[in-house]
Amino acid sequence: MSAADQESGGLGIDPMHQFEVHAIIPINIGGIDASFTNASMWMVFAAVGIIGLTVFAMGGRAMVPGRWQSIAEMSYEFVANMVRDNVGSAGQNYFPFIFTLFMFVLFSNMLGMLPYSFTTTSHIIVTFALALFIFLGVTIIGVVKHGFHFLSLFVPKGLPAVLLPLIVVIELISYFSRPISLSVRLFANMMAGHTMLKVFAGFVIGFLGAGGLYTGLAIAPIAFMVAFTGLEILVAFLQAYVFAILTCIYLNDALHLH
Amino acid sequence: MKIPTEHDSDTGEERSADKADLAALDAKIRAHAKAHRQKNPEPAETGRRSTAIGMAFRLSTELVAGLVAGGIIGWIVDDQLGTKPWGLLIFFFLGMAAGILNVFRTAQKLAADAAAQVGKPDNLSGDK
Repeated sequence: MSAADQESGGLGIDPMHQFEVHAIIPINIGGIDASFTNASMWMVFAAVGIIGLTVFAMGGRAMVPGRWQSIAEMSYEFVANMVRDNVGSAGQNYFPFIFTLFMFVLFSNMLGMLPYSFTTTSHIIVTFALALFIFLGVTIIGVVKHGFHFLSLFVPKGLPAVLLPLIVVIELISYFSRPISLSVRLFANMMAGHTMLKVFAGFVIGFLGAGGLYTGLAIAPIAFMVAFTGLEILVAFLQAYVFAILTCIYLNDALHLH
Repeated sequence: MKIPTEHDSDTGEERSADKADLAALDAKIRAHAKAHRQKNPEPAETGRRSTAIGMAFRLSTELVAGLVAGGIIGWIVDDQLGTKPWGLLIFFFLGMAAGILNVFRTAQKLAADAAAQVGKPDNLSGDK
């Protein structure tokens, strides 16, 4: 027992094991692995959860809402206010997209807090795909709305002509860094939090395995994990909020060039 | 907000009357909302701003994202033009500048938000 523990560095579990993607239904389309994986499954759960909340909770359409209807209405109003405050009334057209985005990230993050679940947003490819889609979409909206004038986004006001080439390149790099910062922030927050939880869970197992006096010490990491789980739930919500609000800010930039 | 549904036979005059009504209602709602916000600031708003870790994390990702974007662009430039070390070198430093610009803008925005929390100016003005 103790020999095996020492081999695995005293940890009974591998903290990165939770991020492994494995196929549930292997699908192969023309040599491309398009299997239905555990990640796909939890994304489907998130989508079904959102549809369940928005469609079935609103099914009654009661004047005085019940609990579920209240949750659906609150999330609608929360996102609607966010869009109105950050984009203005021109942003109302894009409300469905922002709402879908916010709810999907929120549900993915929150479902990841369930034991034995899989956190889809802890994979950079998932968050990067979302961020790239937003980046391309916002750029296309800007170009369609303003045409050639959209490029003025990269030229700050009152810029001396000498500095123009340098500043424009820096502004362009800054613009291209948006999808990276957007995706890395969400992915890193989710992955770091979940890894931390598993590492501390490993401490508990290590202490219990050591036996004797050490068994009592296991209470410390357990207490930390309880507190940290609360913080993780806050982070899950906060990151969904930040993701949505940054999308609003980017959209606002594209709609109303400074 | 109430949507007038009785005016299905909308002539031009009725429409403009509706619009004036709606505008008046809108102004009323905004005034009320503003007064309400001034009286009781949203607890959620102060809560989500106050996480120092979140703020630090946001700034650091902005910095790193600028660097990474510069590096990737430099790499692509080198690959396409065959200017092996120079593209990566130059764009790495430009990326650094872009990262610092990102951090500066984000910090400015955070400071503006914090100031808005204290002063509570009219942030309901709709279109900018």
